[in-house]
Amino acid sequence: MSDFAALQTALSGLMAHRRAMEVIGHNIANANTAGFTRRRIDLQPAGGAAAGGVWARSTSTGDGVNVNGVTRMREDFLDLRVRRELSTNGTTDQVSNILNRIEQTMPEPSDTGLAAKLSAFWGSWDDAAARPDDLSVRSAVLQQADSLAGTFHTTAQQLLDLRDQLGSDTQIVVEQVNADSARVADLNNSIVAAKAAGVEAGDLEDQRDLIIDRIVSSTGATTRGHDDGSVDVFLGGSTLVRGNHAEAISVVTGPNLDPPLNALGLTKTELRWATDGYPVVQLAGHLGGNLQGINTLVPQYLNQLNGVAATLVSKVNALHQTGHGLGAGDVNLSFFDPVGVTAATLSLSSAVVGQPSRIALAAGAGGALDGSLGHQIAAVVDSQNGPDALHRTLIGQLGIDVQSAQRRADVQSKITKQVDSDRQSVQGVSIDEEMTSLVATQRAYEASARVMTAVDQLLETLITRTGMAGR
Amino acid sequence: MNRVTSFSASTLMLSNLFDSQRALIATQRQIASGKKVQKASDGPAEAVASLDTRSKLRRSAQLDRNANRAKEWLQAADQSTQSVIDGVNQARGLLVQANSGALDGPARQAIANQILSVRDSLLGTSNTSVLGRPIFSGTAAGASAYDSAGTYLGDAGGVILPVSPGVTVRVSRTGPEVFGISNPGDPANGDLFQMLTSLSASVASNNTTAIANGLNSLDVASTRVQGVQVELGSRLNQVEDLRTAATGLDNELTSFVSQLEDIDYAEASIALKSQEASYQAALQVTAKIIQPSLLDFLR
Repeated sequence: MSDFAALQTALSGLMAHRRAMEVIGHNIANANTAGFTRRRIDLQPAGGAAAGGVWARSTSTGDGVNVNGVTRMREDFLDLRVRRELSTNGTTDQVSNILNRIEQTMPEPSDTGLAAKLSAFWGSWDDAAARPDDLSVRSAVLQQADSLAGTFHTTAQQLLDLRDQLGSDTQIVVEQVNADSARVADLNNSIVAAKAAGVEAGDLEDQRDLIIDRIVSSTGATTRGHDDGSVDVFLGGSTLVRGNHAEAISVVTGPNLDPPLNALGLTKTELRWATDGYPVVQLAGHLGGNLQGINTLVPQYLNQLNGVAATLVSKVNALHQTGHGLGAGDVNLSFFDPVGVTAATLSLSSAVVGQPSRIALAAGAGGALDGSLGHQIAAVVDSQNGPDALHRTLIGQLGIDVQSAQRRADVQSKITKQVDSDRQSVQGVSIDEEMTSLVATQRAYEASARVMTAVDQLLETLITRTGMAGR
Repeated sequence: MNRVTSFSASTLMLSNLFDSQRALIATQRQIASGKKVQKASDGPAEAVASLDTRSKLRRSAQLDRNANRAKEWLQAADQSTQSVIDGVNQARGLLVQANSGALDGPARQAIANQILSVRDSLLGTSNTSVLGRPIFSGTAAGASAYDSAGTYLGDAGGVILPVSPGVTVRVSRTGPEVFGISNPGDPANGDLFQMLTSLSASVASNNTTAIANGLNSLDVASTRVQGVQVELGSRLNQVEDLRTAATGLDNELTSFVSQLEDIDYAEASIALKSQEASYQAALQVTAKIIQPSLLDFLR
C-alpha cells in the first residue's frame, strides 16, 4: 500500500461528502416542490479484499468511501394506495359537486320556489271560482299558470345547462388526460434512456409520477412499474401508456340514455379509445363522476321534474275537460297543452291562452257562474299523488342524495389526505432532518480534510526530515 | 407516521384550520339567516316536513280568503232575508187592517197600493248582490235574480265554497227557496211577488175569503223565510268556528315550521363561541409549531 493511498482515502471522503451536501441542497431547495421525492445518497466503503485468498494476506484497511448512487425515497405500495384513493376521491368529490349544483336549481324550502308557485297557482283557482263572473280574477289564473310554467322551464333549463357544462368540462379534462398521457410516454422514454446511460433521472421520475397522479385522479387509472424505470398506465384493463407509447381517448355522443331515462330524448356521453373506438370501461375519478352526472344524475332529476309537470297537466286537464267556461262552446277544453308534457315544454293550451273567459270553473251540469269545478281543481293541492306531493318527494330524495354524497366526499377527502400525508412522510423533505444531515456531512467533510492535513504532515515529515541524519 | 415532513405538516395543519373555519362559517351562516335548514340537504326530513307544512299554511290562507268570501255572502243573505221577513210582516199587518171590513173603497185602494209597494221593495231585496253578482240567482249569469215582473231569472245551482280542509259550505240560496215557487196558474199560492200582487187585487176588490187565505199563506211564507234565515245564521256561525279553529292550527303549524327551520339562537351562539375559541387556539398552536425549525437552534 502506497503512502499516498491515505491521501486518496481522505479525498474520497471529501468528494463523497461534497456530493452528499449537493443532494441535501437539492432536497432543501425542493422542500416545497409538489411531487418531489427526497433523495438519499448511498455511501459504501471502498476497497479491501473482496475475498481473502488461502495464502494471500492483505493488510488493506479500505480505500475510503464510494458514492454508490442516489436513491429516491419512494414506496411503491404507498403510491398504489394514494392513487386508489385519488381515483375514488375524484369521483366522490365530483358527484357531490354535481348534486350540489342540482340542488341549487331547486331552492327549497323557500317562499319563491316551485312549491310556493304551485300553492299560488292553486290559490288562484279558488279565488277565480269564488268570482267566476270577474274576468280579472280569471286572468290571474292564467298569469299564475304562466309563472308556474316559467319556474318549470327555468329549472329544466338550468339542469340542461348543468349537463352541457359537465360535457364541456369532460371534453377539457379528456384533452388534459391525453396531453398528460403523451407527456408520461415522453418522460418514460427519457427515463429509460437516462437510466440505461447511468444518468440520474430522479427529477424526471418525480415529474412523471406527479402527472400520473393527475391522470389517476381524473380517470381512476392504475399503474405498473417496470425495472427499466418506465411506468405503464392502464385504464379499465386497456393500456393508456405503455413504455414510450400513449393511447388517446375521446368524448363521443352515444345512443339514447338507458331506460327509464330514454324518454328524455337525451343522448349518452361516452369515452372511447381513439384508435379502435371501443368504449372505455371502469372509468372512475373526476371523469367517472362527470359521466355519472351527465348520464344518470342530472337526467334522473330532470325526469322526476318532468313527472311533476306531467302530473300537474294530467290532473288539471282531467278536471278542466269536464267543466265549461263562460261561453256556450267552451266545453271539453284542455287547460295545459297536453302534447309533449315536460318541465321544459309545459305551457297553457291554445284554447285558453289569452282568453280567461274560456277557463272552465263551472262543473258540467252547473250554471254559467258555477265555481265548483274551480274549487275542485284548487283542491288538487291536497292530493296524495298530486304534483305537490311528487315535488316534495323529489326534494326529499335530492336532499338525502346531496347529504350522503357530501358525507362520502368529506370522508373520502379525509382518507385521501391521510394517505397522501403517509406518502409525504416517506417521500417529503423534512428540513430538520436535512439540517441534521447537513451538520453531520459538514463535520465529516471537515474531518476528512483534517485527515488529509494529517497525512500531509506525515508525508512532510517523511520527505523533509527523513534522511537528514547528522546534517 | 414516522417522519413529519414540513410539506405534510403544513398540508395537515392547513386542512385542520380549514375544517375549523368551515364549521365557523356554517354556524355564522345559520345565525345570519336564522335558519338551520336553508337547503334540502341541510336536513332532508326537516325540509320535506317544512315543505308540506308551508304548503298547508298557504292552503289555509287560501281557505281563509274563501271563508271571508263565504261570510260576505252569508251576511248579505242574512240581511236580505231579514228585510224579506220584515216585508212579509208589513204586508200581513196591512192585510189584517183590510180584513177588519170597516174600510171604504178609497182606503182599501190605499192599502192595496201599499201592498204593491211592499212587493216592489221585496223585488228590490231579491236582487241584492255581492260584488255585482245577485245572491239569489243560483249559478246563472245575469245582473238580477228577478225581473221587474217578478219572473225568476236564475237557476237551481248554488255557490259552494270550501272553507276548511274537507268542508264546503253552500253560501247562497236560490230565489224560489226564499221567495217561494212561482205558480202562474194560481197566483195566490205562487211566490211572494205573485201572492202580494194577487192579494193587492183582492184587497182592492174586498174579496174577504182570499184575504183570509192570504193571511195563512203569508204566515207559511214567513215561516219558510225564517227557516232560511236561521239556516244561514247557523252556517255563518259554522264558518266562523271553523276559521277560529283553523287560526289556532295555523299558529301551531307556523311554530312547527319555525321549529323545523329556525335555529336556536342560544345554542348557535354557544356553538359559535366554542368554535371561535377552538379556531383561535388552533391558529395559535399552528403559529407556534410552524415557526421554529432546527435552523433556529443551530449556530
